[in-house]
Amino acid sequence: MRKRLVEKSPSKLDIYTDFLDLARFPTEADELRSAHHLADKYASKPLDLIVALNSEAEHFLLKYRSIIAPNVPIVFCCARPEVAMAADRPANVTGVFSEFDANKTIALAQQLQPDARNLIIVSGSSEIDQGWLKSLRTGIEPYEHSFNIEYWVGLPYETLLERASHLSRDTIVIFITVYGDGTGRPFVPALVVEALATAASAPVYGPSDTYLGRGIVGGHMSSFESMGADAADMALEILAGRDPAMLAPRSSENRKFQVDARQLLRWHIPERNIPKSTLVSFRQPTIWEEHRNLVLATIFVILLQAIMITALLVQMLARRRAEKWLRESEERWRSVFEMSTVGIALADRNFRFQATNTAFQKMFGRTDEQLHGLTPLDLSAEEERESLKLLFEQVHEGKQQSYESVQRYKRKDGALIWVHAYVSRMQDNESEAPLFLATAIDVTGRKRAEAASRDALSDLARVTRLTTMGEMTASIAHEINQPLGAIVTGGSAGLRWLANAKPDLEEARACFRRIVNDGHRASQVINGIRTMLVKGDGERELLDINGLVREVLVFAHAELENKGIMVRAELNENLPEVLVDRIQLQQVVLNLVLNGIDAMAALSSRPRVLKLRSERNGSANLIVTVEDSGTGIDRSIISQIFEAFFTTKRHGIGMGLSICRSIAVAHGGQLSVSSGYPYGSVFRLELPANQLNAA
Amino acid sequence: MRSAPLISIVDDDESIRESTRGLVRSLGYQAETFASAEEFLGSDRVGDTSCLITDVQMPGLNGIDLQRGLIDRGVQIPTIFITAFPEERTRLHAMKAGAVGYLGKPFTEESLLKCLDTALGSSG
Repeated sequence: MRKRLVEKSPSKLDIYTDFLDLARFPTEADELRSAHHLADKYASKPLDLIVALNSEAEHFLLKYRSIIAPNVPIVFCCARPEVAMAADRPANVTGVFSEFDANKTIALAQQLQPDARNLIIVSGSSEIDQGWLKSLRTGIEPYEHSFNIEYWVGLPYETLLERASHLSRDTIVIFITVYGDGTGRPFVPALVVEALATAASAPVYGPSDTYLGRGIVGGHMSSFESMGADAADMALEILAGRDPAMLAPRSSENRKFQVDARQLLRWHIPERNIPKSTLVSFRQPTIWEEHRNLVLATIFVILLQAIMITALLVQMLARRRAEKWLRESEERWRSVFEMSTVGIALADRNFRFQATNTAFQKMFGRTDEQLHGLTPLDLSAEEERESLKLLFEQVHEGKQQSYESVQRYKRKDGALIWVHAYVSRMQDNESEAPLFLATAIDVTGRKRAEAASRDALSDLARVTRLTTMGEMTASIAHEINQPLGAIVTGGSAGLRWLANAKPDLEEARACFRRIVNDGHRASQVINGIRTMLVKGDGERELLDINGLVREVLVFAHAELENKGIMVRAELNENLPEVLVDRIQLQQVVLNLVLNGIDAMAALSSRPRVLKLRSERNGSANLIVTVEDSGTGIDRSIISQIFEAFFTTKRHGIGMGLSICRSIAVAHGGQLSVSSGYPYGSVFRLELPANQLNAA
Repeated sequence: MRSAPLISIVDDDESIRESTRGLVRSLGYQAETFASAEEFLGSDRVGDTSCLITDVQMPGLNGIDLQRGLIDRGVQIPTIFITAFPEERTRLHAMKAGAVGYLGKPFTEESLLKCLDTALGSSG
């Protein structure tokens, strides 16, 4: 109010403030003494206007006006409406009064105590009390459904306090006014509400700002501030010369919800229940508000420490977890390594075993110590060593990252085992030397089963050979041996007839005639075979020679594996197709492969390697070569090997290569042989490319 | 004069048949030829035969069948097998059943002579 007066006044104002301690000095003598004191105090300073800041001050001023400052206009603020509107109000006394809005006070209470079920309306029995009660009852209807409403009207003061002390917590007490109790005694409502709020076991609310700070939780009421501003405006108008009689007392329109923060705490009412735009008074300054910077600094330091401690803890935890994980991981891998049923070994750059697992040790019948420093070559069966060395070279030089092999090894007890091994090269970053990881599976059992079935297969293969090439040679043998046999027998007989003491020339002549006929017959047999091959019974078809080579390798697979032969196929995939009799060509290639296998059968000093290569020879031809690493063909007989009945094999009849060459020639090609380098033989099958395709 | 022993020759191949007959005769024996096992079994010369020379592979009854057939009838004739396609299994079979020889074609004069000596010597 003072602020408003200073701001708005056109001229300088002297403002004096006096405090009436009427609550503590309530007797008439006290009042009189104060009145005289004020009169003396301001005798030399003529007052232009007096402002009464509350109902008690107004009451005091009106009562002792004649003593303090007769006829000086009085502006009251926060007056009770019944006083302000009283008919006997002096003409130059006006001001701002506050009206009660008890219903909105109930609304506030309901929001603050949403669980409350009981509503008690407290009112006095005086005429003014009855008036306010009446205005409340006209607007109570909406609350009748939400609450059990009790009216405590005109109770004797003591009874009121006594009953209020037994209320349940879910009760709302609305105190309107008590100017007089049931016994007719007069009361000041603000003092009654103070006693009531102290005694009550449930929150008390009231619609008057004069009750605020006296123990009520809150209410819908005028604020001192807004009423002060209104009163200041009135005062300035009067000072400016306006007749106070023309200014009727006005009701403050600026009512709002107000609550007492201390009471919210007392009744444990959460702040979130407070409606928006509620004025909260008597808020206890928190430590935060009082020592904001200190608190901030302290919190900052504590936080910083906490963060550091947390960070350290987290780091420690993380490290411990990582260590645990590593340890578990290592244990896990160690147990994978140890428990694995697959043999695992680590070897250094020279293939010397550095670590082996139990399965590996069992497989080779040696302990880890015995294996340490050995190489797979030391374990390998003698006949496998050369080919194993070749594999080593491949991975050692880095040409291949890994190899896979199925080979025979010797256990410590001398037993041979078949081992399927995968060896892969690992680069050790630290030493730059390659490391080798070998996994090994004992496939001896499987091999045995395979060998058993291979024997059957081998029989089958023999039968197959017989029924194709074999049958052909058998039938050729029979066809030729018949006339040959006849010739030999006939010759013997002829010689006999001539050798007799008396040679029987007739019989001898008959023999020689038959011999000539049989000779012709043998010749016819051979011509017949050649004609048959040249014509080719089978139909010729366009095919990929590589596919044919692969088919042959499938036929020969068991035989190749059985004899421990490594096959290297270098097939050029960009070859034109050939127009051939598939069966005949298969026979040729199969024959060359089987010959190669036979040529290496006795080999133990070097790997048994069979190389098959397909390539182009100019635009018109393509070549398939079959190279073995066997004993080779003696120079003295190399020119004879394609001749019929020439053989180097114990059980051969010497027809295979002869027929192969015939087939090659019949296809417009050629079959030739040369010595391999540094050993072995190279058979070279040349075939004309299909001209349509070759273009 | 005691007549020369009769050698019966069974072979489906005429050249062999004839040349063998020539050889046998040049050795001083009588020879009779038959084109099949059935023909021989049906002839009246079975009882007279001192030695049988037969091919193994023949259409119809083969040489082994013929040997078994004779044994079944209780006839014991020393038998020499000749074949253009010698097989160990057949050889064993034949020898077990009492054959005196198993010759691959072409066979030498000496090997046949040896067999004939064995066959005729054992019979008397």
